[in-house]
Amino acid sequence: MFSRNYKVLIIDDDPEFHQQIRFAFRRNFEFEGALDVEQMDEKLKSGAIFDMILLDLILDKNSDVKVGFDLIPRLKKAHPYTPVVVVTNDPHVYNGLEAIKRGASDFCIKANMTRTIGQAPSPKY
Amino acid sequence: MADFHIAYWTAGENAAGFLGRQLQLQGLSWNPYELGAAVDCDVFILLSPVWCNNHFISCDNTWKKYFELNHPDVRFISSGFAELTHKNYIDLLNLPPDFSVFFTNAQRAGEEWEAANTGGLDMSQKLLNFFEGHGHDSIRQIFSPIYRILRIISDEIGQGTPYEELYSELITPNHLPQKWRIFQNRFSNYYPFFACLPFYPDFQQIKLLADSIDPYFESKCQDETLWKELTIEYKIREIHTLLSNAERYV
Repeated sequence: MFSRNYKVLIIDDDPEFHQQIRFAFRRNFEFEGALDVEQMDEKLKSGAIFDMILLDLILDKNSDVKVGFDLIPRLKKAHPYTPVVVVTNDPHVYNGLEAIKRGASDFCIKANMTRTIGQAPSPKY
Repeated sequence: MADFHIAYWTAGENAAGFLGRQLQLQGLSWNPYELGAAVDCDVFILLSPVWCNNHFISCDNTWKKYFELNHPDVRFISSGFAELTHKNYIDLLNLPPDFSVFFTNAQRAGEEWEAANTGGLDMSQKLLNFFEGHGHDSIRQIFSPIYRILRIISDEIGQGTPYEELYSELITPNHLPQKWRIFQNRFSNYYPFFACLPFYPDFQQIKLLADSIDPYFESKCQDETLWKELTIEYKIREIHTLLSNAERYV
C-alpha cells in the first residue's frame, strides 16, 4: 500500500498518544512530535518537510480551549501543501466542520485512529 | 374523541394508578412500558421525578431527546405533582378537564421544545458529566485510549506481531490495566443513575460486556489466551458502539 515511509508531525499534549501512534504506524510512517505550541514552532522553523500533520484540538490538559483551531491557519501558512488532519476525542461533527473551514484536510476521532490514518488525504506536491 | 394509544413509564405505581383511573374515567387506557421494548404508542407519559438510586431524578429532557431522535411523532408528556404549566406536562393536582384535547394540543417529540423541569436531579446534566465532564477524566477521554490501544493490538496480532512485543511496547508503557480500572470505576459510579433512562438496557449490556472482560485486565493483560478466549476486540467494539449510541442523547 505504501511505497515509502511518509513523515508525519504529531502535535498533541499527550505523550502516550504519540507513543501509540508511532507504534501502530511504525512500518510506513516516520514521526516527529510536538507536545505544545512552543515545540510545534521549533519543528516548523527547523525546515523539516512533513507529508502530513496530525493536530490535536486541545493542547493543555488543564484547559478545554480548542487552540488547535487557531493553529490550523498558522500551519497552513508555514506548510501550504501539507495536509493538516485534526484529531480529537470529541466526536461532535461541529469540530470537523470548523476544522475544515479553517483549512484542515480531514478530521479523525482519536479512538478510531488505528487504520484510519491510511485513509487520510495524500500529500499534494 | 381521538383514539390514542398511550404508554407510560414509572419507577413506582402509586401516582400511575391514580392517573390511570382518571384516564379510564374519560374512556382512555394506557399500558406500562418496559425499558428497551419497542415503542408502539401515540402518547407516552413519564411519571416524574423518578425515584432512582436514592435520588429524585428529573430525566424528562433525556427521554424527550430519546423520542425526538427515535420516535419524533410521539407526544411525550411528563406528569407529576410539581405545580407547572406546560403543553407537555400533566399536573396531577390540577388535571386537564379533557385528556383527548390535552393530548391533541401537546407537542410532538420531534418539535423543538424543552421538557418541563419537575424539580429532581437533572439527568441530562448527569449524562453530560458522564460523557464530557471531569475534564480529561471524562468517560470519553478514559475510554478513547483503551479502545485505540486494543484495536492496535488486534491489528498487530493480525499482522503477526508477537504478543510479548505488544505487551512490552504498547500495554505496559500505556498502563492499560490501570486505564481499564479507572473506566470501570467511573462507569460503576454512574451506572445506578442510568436505570431511569429509556436506553438503560444499553448500559446493562455495557456492564455485562465490561465485566466479562475484566479477567483479561486483572491478569495485567499478560495472558494472550484470555485475549482470544474472551474475544476482547469484539467486546470492546460493542462497548464503543453502545457508548456512542448513548452519547447521542447528551
